Amino acid sequence: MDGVPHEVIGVLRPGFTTLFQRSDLFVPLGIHAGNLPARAPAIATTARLRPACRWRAALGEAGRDPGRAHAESPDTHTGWGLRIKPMREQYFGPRRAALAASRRSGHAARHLAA
Amino acid sequence: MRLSETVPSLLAEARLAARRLRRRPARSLAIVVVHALGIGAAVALFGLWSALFLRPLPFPTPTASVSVLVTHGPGTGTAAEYSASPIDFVAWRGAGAVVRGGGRHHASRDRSLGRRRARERVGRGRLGVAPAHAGSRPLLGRTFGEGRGPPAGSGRCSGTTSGRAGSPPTRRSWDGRSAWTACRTR
Repeated sequence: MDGVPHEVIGVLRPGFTTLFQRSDLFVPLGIHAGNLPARAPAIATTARLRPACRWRAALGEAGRDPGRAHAESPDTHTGWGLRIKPMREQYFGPRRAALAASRRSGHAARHLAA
Repeated sequence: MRLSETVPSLLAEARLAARRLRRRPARSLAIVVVHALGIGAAVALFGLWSALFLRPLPFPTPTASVSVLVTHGPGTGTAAEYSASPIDFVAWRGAGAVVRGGGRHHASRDRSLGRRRARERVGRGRLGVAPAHAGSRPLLGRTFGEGRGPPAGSGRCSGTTSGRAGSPPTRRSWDGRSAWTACRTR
């Protein structure tokens, strides 16, 4: 693949896709503590909650962690935090206001027409 | 009304419409543009509504899939959000905080991109979304929401704390920032 030998380690189910990315294959991210890239790309990170764990509970736990980190390393960690969002909210949440506005304008137009 | 009567009638109506459109081309063009914009807007809005409310996300457990983001700034609601830096990602995965990650979308096989553009993306080192279910590594340690920490001593990332005090909340400032989520001892 692009001149680099790869080993196929698994086959995904037919039709597998990630959001907005239609791809024929995936390769491992290949980042670990021993080979952190010199440049720092941003990695969109996805997690899967355990069964019966609600995202609000996970958000609460993630929100407590920064407090501890801030106390331990106030010089470097103050102001930084962690947030967990449902994927639907992450990808479509910013458009919700526009949709609500369009819905309200539709209601108003129907009201005026009546 | 029979079909044999309807079709000629419809054709006559279409011819009449075409003649009237030709008679006032400017007004006709405006009407066509307005209709095109309206149809386009309706299709776009329906696409959004469908993605928001109708279609499930393409995962086996869509409600359990969450995005993990780094924030910077005052307040919980107004802080700016960023994707993770590699050191954060590695620390989360190593400490078992993040459930699963580790797939890289290979842009050179992306059907939505031209081959040349895809090579440029790979050349710039741009990484795609780490899919929740494509990774091959098992989970380690804890999961958010469990209320349990990693085994004693396993959560320390000594030597990684090189963040800069007061650094601006830009992506560039992440280069040396420590992976705080794992750098603690319970």
